[in-house]
Amino acid sequence: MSVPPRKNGLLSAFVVLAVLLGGVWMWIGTPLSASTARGVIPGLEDEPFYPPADPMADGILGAAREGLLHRVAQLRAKDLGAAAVADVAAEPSQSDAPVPAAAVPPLAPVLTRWPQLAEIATGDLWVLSLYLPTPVEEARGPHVVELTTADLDAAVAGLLDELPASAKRAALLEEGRWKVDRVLPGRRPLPPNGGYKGVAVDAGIDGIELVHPDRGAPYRYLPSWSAESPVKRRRIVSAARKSARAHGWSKDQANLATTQAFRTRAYVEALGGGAPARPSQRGNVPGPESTVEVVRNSIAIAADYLARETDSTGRFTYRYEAHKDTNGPSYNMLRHAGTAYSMFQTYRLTGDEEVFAAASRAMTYFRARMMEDKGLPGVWFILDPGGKRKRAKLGGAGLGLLAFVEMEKARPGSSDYEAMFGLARHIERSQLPHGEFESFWNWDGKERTDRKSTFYPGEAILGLVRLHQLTGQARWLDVAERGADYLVNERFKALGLRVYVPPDAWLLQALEELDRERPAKHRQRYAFSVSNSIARHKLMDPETAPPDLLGGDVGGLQSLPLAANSGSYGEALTAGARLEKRVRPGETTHQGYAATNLTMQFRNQFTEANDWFLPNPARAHGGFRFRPNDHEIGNDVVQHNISGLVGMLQLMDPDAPNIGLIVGPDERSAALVAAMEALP
Amino acid sequence: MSKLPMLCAVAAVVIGALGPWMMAGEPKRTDATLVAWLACGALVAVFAGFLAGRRDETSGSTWPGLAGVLLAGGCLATLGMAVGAERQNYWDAWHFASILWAGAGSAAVGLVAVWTSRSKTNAAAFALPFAALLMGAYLLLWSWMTFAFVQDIEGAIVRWTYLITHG
Repeated sequence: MSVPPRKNGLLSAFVVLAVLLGGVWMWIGTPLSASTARGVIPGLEDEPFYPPADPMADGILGAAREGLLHRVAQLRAKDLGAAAVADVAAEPSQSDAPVPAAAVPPLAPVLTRWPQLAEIATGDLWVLSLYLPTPVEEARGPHVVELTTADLDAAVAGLLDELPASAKRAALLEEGRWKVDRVLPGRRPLPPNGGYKGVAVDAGIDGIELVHPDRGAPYRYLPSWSAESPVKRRRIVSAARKSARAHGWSKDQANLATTQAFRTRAYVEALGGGAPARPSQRGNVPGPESTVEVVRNSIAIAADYLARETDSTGRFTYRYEAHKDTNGPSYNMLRHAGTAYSMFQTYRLTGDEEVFAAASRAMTYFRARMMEDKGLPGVWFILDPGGKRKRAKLGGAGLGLLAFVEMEKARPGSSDYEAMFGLARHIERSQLPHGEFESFWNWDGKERTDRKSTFYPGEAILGLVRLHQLTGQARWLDVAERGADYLVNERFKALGLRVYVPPDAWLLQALEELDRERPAKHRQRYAFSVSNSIARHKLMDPETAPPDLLGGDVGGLQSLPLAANSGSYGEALTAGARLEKRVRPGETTHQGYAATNLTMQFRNQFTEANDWFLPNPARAHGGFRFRPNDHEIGNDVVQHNISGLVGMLQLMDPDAPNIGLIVGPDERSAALVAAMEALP
Repeated sequence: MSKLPMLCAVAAVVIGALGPWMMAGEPKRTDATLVAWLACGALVAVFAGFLAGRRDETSGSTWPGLAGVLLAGGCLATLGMAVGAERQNYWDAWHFASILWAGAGSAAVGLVAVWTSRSKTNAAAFALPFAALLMGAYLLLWSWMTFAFVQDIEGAIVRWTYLITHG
């Protein structure tokens, strides 16, 4: 018997509905189902993100600092005493030399110094941690003690006594930093391994408590630990089990233990050490206010970082893994050029000669790796290391050009004009008749590639716009304008559809500065579309975003926002903001994007405020990390952040150097003028 | 019963399936143009079948309609695979746009075809909601590319799903 068409239609309608729901589920179902494994610990519904000030935390950290300094003094006195005894042994004639006192006066009773500590054992559990800045892993810590009595001095002394020998050095201990966690009441049972991809656990916020009947006390993996070193979200629970095993738990005990999440209120010492305690969350402290001084300082210390990480040949540290104090592998000449560019930008702001010298070395390094086109003398390009058979990337020419131009702007007469104009001519000849650029130049006769880069053309166009600012030659601006119009009008646009607006950060900067010379509504509109495209996938609402992620861009279930993108997109958003300020007076949408993004940048720069857990804070100082829980510092990440900050500063500070400075005819160096006249 | 609509439908399905089949493998640099032309060719076959089927008393445009639905789905799959494989670094905009239009056209022709044939065959009645669903999907895709507010909604959903899974 055949089924009537009407019933058949109903059946398929149900099937379609199922397909539709399946489609929606594929998009948002995974996060929705994963989110059901999450939840708030009962009683902590109104817990603020950053803990409130707490006199007990002040007392603990103040007393702990005093205890640490006391131990340092004892070690120094002991060392001094031993040295004096040795001197006496070596030269008996000096037997009347004073021998330093071996004993340092004892501390006053802790409750007379910090009376609030009398209550320490009556409320929530407090856990004190000591971090030592050393690459020796066993000495680094964190070294932990649970505070169960009011005698904090005894607890601190006990912790220090238990340190490995490699940690018992006065100079190292003196640099140690304390953190204290107040373990809040309430627990949340966790699904196995933290649920689907570990989503039931928030890195850096949730601690993991392991409970096993054979162990008297639970093992607590403190919340900040999964932020202080990169731990994948789905592995946080297993990291807690591993940590328990390292603290005496058997494998079976760790694996069979029930797991539950707990939270703490965490505090770190004041900047000079001790009290008052500073609130922290997810291994970080609240970011600074966005003031001109803070932006200027941020730029300066970031450039200092880059200068320190430039070797004598001009090569940068490509990746510094700050949580391990080791360097990562690989290298990239595009990022090399971009980094030097940002250092020259900084020099224009600060006049720091060390930064200029390091950036100049970097450009010498770059110049030595450039190649001249054998068939077209005077046209130069750059290849990546080991790239003798690779095609020449347009972005290398664009960023190299940017750097050489910025060098000349920073110090007229200092740049390499053959290289500068050679790169510009390479970009010029890479342009096809309809305005598109070839992103990968076939320099050695290989077959032409259809591969195209989203970002290289924008880098090249910005380089040409900047070269025009330096030389006033319309030739470069013409190429830039044709290229920009292709990207705005034709790229990803066909048959009546705008298929895609990419987050093309370099192009947005180029459009803003091109618009100063040759304003055009269609390019302005596109620039704002790019800015919106970037902001759409960022957490821009302070009402809904966790305070430490505000301004960050959204990622997958496993990822905290990429702080690296806050740098690269920061450059773009500030360009959008500058364009808005100029062409849409009274509107503040894009300026708001840039200002919010800025906060994410600050929070992810290593300073004295947030480097307590690093093995070598002095080296990381000023660097920008990849993510709030990934402390690798890339030279390109620092570059993007510096350039974004420089762009932001122009919005905030009328005295800041103009990011798109136009060099007048009288300001050009004689050497530059001669090179311009010699151009074919 | 005329065989022409069915022949066109078979041709459309065979030609249309080549695109996703090529995309499922390792696409060569010349594949973009071929995939786009295959999608457009299949659309022509669907349309021809639809026209031919209008005079068929027995099954109407059922077969071209079904082929249209399959082709529309195949074009969506092709686009998804292209984006998944980051083909935007090789393809031009017209490659994406022509596949999208071919898919949308197939969905539209398929919808009309199964609608007009729904009382003639069970298959047409069964396929009708699928055709409507695909038409809706293409409308959604087109509106995402055209209207900023649709992208804003998409961005809001992406942010929301992120926030419900991150504290």
